[in-house]
Parts: sequence; C-alpha cells; structure tokens
Amino acid sequence: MNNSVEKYIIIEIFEKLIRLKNFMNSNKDSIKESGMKISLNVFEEAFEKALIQLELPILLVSKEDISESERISINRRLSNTLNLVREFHTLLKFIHSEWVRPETYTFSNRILKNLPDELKKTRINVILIDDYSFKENNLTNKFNEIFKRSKLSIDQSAIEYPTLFLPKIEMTNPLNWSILAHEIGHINTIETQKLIGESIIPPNTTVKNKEILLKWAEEIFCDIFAINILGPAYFASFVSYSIVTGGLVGNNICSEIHPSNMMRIRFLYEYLERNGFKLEYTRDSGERIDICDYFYNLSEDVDKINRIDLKSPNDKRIEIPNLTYFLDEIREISRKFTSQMKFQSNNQINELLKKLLLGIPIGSICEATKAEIEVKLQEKTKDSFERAKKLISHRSTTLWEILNTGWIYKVVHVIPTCSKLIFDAKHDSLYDKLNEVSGLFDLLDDRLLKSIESSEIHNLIETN
Amino acid sequence: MILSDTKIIEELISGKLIITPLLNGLKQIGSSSVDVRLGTEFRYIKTSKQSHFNLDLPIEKIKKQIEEYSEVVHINPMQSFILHPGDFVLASTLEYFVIPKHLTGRLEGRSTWGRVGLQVHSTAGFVDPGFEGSLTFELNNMGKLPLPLYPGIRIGQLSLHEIEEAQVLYVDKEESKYGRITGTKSSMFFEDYEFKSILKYNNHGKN
Repeated sequence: MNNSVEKYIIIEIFEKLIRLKNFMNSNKDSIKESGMKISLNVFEEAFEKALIQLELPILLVSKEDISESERISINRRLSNTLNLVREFHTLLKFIHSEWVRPETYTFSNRILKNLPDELKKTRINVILIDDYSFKENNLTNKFNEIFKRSKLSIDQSAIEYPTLFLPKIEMTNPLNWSILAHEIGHINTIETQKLIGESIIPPNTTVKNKEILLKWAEEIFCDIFAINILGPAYFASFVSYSIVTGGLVGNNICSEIHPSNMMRIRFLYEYLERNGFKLEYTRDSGERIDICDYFYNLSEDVDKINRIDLKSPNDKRIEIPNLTYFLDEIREISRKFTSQMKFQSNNQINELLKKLLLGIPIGSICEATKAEIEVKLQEKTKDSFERAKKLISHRSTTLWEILNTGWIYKVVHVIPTCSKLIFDAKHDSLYDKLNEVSGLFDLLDDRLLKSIESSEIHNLIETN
Repeated sequence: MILSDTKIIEELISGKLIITPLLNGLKQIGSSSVDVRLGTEFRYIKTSKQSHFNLDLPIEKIKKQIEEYSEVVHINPMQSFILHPGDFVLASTLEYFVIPKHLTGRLEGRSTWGRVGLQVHSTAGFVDPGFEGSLTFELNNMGKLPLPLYPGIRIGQLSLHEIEEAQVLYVDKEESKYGRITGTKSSMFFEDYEFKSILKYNNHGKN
C-alpha cells in the first residue's frame, strides 16, 4: 500500500480545519462586537489541539513503509480527528453567523430548473446549519406541526417553503454544494412517489422494514436526480462527504432514513458506468485518471481500513433481509427513468480545465476555433467581420461543466500539491503548511463562485 | 498604437489576450476598445467608527483598520446596487483579464453612463502589461440622482495599446498587490516600500 488513502484523509481533514478557521475569521468582527471574544479564543485553542493530532500521522505517512500496527494507530487517530471536526462544527452554533452567499441561491435556483414545471418556481430558502450535514426540510410543515400540537385554532399555511440546510464550513465551497442537488431532489416528492411503488419491496417484508425501504428508495432516487444534473461531480462530493461524516467507520452503517453510504456509493458507481458517465484527465506523463474510478476506489479503500478500536459516530445497526431484490428493482426503475434523459457531454471540460489551471474563472467558453474566426476576419466584409465578432463571443458554462472541471482540478492539482506541501516539506510547521494549503482552496473556491455567478448573469442578459 | 477591433480579435484568438466572459462580442468590441461590465461585488466606505486613519500603529493593525474602513456587499444577478449622489464605492469588472507583455490597457467610462454622472475611475485607469485579474472600478456618482447599477451592465471600456515587450510583468513584480483577484480589494498602500520606510523611521524615532 502507498498510504494514498491515509494521505487523502489527512488532506480532507486539513481542508475542513481550514474551512472552520476561515469561517471563524470571517465572523471575527461580529464576535468581538457581540462580546463573544472568549468563545473565539476557546475555539482557537481547540483548533490548535486538533491540528496537533495530525503531526504523528503526517510523520508516519510520509515514510515509504509503515507497519500494520502503525497503520492501525494512524487510522485510529484520523478517525478520532474526523469525529473532532464534526463535533467542532456543532459548536459553531455559539459563533455568530453570516447569511449564505448569494451564489448559493444562484446555484440552488439553477438546480431547481430541472424539476417539473409546476415546481420550477418554488421559492427555496438556504440557511447555514451547525451540524455537519446537508438537509432539506419544509419549514411550512414544521410550523404547521407546531400549530397542530397547540390548542389554538389557526389556519395552517398552504405555502410550501422548502429550506435547504448547508453546513457552515461549506459556505464557500461550491464543489460540495453538489449535495444540495440531492436535497432539492426531495422537493420533487410527487415525481419520486410515481417511481417508487410496492414493487420494490421484497416479499415477506415486515411493515417496519417496508417503511424503511421506501425511505431508502427516495434517497437513492434523489442521488440519481443529482447525478443526472451534475454527473460525476455529485459522486465525488458524496464520497468526500461520506468520508467526513462516516469518520472511517460509518460508511457501512445505515439508518431508518438513509441506506449505508457504501451501498449508495456502489449503486451510484454502477449507475455512472452503465450510463457512460466518464470524467477523464490525461496527465502529461500519459497517465489517465477517471474521477469516478478515483473516488470509487478511494471509498473502497476506506472501507477496507482495519477498524480495530475505531469508534463509530452512530452504531445503531439495521438488518434488512433480501436487499439484492430491492436494489435490482431500483436499478430496473432507474433504467426506465434514465432512458428518457439527455446527459450533458464533457467535451469542453479539458478546455475549461486549462483555464482553471491558469487561475482563470470558467463561467464561459469560446466554442469557435481559431481557424473559423480567422477565415471570417480575412474575408474583410462588414458581414464577415460581424460574424467574427459573434464567433469570438463566449457561451455561458453549465453547472455540470463548472463543477466537474472543479473536481478534476481538485484531483489533479490541489490534492497532489497539498500532498507535496504536507508530506514533503518536512521542516515547515503545521501552521505554515496549513496556510499554504489554505491558499489553494481559497483560489479554487473563489474561481468557482465567480464562475457560477458570471455564467448566470451571462444567461440572464443574453437570453432575455 | 491603440489596437483596432480587428487587432483586438486577433489578440483574443491568439490566446495571449484573455477577456472572460466575453458575453457578446458584437456589442462589446468597439472600433478601438472593448466594453467591460460591472461585477457583483461592491466595497463601500463605512466611516461610522473611525475618525481618521491612525497610521501610528504596527502594519498589521493598519491593515485591519483599512479592512474595517470598508464593507463588501454582493449583489445578486438582476438586482441593483444604488449609488447615491456623491458616493464613492469600489467595484470590479465581471470580466477577468490576462494582458500580455506587449500590451497595456486604459480603462475609461462609457459616454452613456457619463451623461448621468457616473465616473468609473478617479485616478487609476492604467493597466500594466502582464496584469491578470478583474479590473477595479472607483465608482463615483457625480450626478444629482441615485443610480441603479446592475451586475453585467457595460459601464466602462478598455482600450489596448501596443508597446515593446515589457521585461517585468505586473504579476511578477515584487510590489504588485492587486493581481489575480476577482473581486474588490481595499487599498494596500502600507505595502509600498516608501510607506514602510516612513513607518520604520517613525517607530525607530520613538523607540
């Protein structure tokens, strides 16, 4: 083994710690103004302690060979640190928070356009949440439930007001906003209910298990909804999110609402393959990387981690017999569902990646070739010149293109650079490493946010 | 030599000059300039807490003071930022530029907006060879009525001038402070070498 899984997890923890720190810094002024300086100090102290947890794993992982007992010790510490990150996130409730960025609404509204016509104009609300989890909830239902419980006779609101919850530290990270697409899928319950029927339930299933399976089916269809809109980008986000939330041990644990992450990952990977979703990049060395394979293999490797002594964040296990029947049925329905869809192509992603590698935002792309424009310039007539001007114009890019390019960029540029900075620069302090790594994520976030916003302005101005 | 429309297109297709997004070449490329659009970020000055810039402080504190001097507002697509008469805000172009080493640029206003009193820069309209990033507007409403400014509107134009190739590009200059950014950035005058000298002299004198 080349320690690649452990390295990836350390980079993932670095990223989350950076985002926690950035979130605190972005709120520093308001914290001081509201007299909560102490909470910030406590946070900073705890943050330092969490960072120190990584010293030993970094040292060991940087070595060529590590013994099995060292690997167990590294994994134990990484698992505990991941748990720490999630628990820290919950404590953010004590920190004054900003509202979500406007780009989050632009993003969510663009995903909404994929819903059936009657739902396209749904007004959604996005709010930042203290738990490290993405959720969808209908606030109207919540209020109606409260009124129901009260003894007051009040007309219940009929206005649907779905709310998406975004973890605070993902506030500026569009790559992980992909998971919001899954949550938006939950708004589309009418469509989902049409697909999910009794046929998916294996014979002789208990009433309780039937309820569970129907909920699981909804989760899987929301995954498919997100994949159909964002392709491999959703898969990559889901794997990365499941590593953080599963804490190295939770990926095989299911709940009454969600199937296990590994079940979803395996199902989605097969779905991606079956529908020909590929997101490939060829390095200068000729090595080809497929983003779906990369994240699938990563999740399988995490699944193989020796779990001796690892503590699970949620150890409640649910056993459901005959899951193969259930999955086969879901697969069959998804086949019919997908056969009517048109997927986006990845044709321009290499061009966009070249731009992003130069630090240029990717909200637009020029599709004409140099030769096509040159021909028009050489014709030297007024019409041909105007044609050249039209050809040089850009078209706006789609969320699919922006996010998938972003994920390739992360895999081929950010992760290898982070790896060098963290594991090779042996003399730098952890704080120096953190600051350098932070610059990479800040740049990627900034360029993607800018791309999402400028492509939307482009669409709105040029199509209205 | 100021680049003509044909030359601008030639530079764009050569890939050396980058202007992105170029929403509408037909409308944006004029006979000797390219119209530039307003971005979504505005940095306005808030003076409620500060009576003056206290420059008698360590550089980190001056930096913080400058940051606190202004506040950033993001405007959603199709919504407006209202610039009141006499107000000054920093904004940026929607476009990201890469200016090659044989070109320089000059940012100017557009007559359409100038006629209602909008000034797009007060002093810094020059773009160095090798500049990369969004351009900064120093917006000032010199008119008598508030102006609604929407992201994506064409409020300025950039003319490009051919020069002999520069040896040192803007982004490679030791002192470059505003390269490769996409929004607005507060002044970083405290990074100027002469300012550092003044500060050093004053602090040393006191010690």
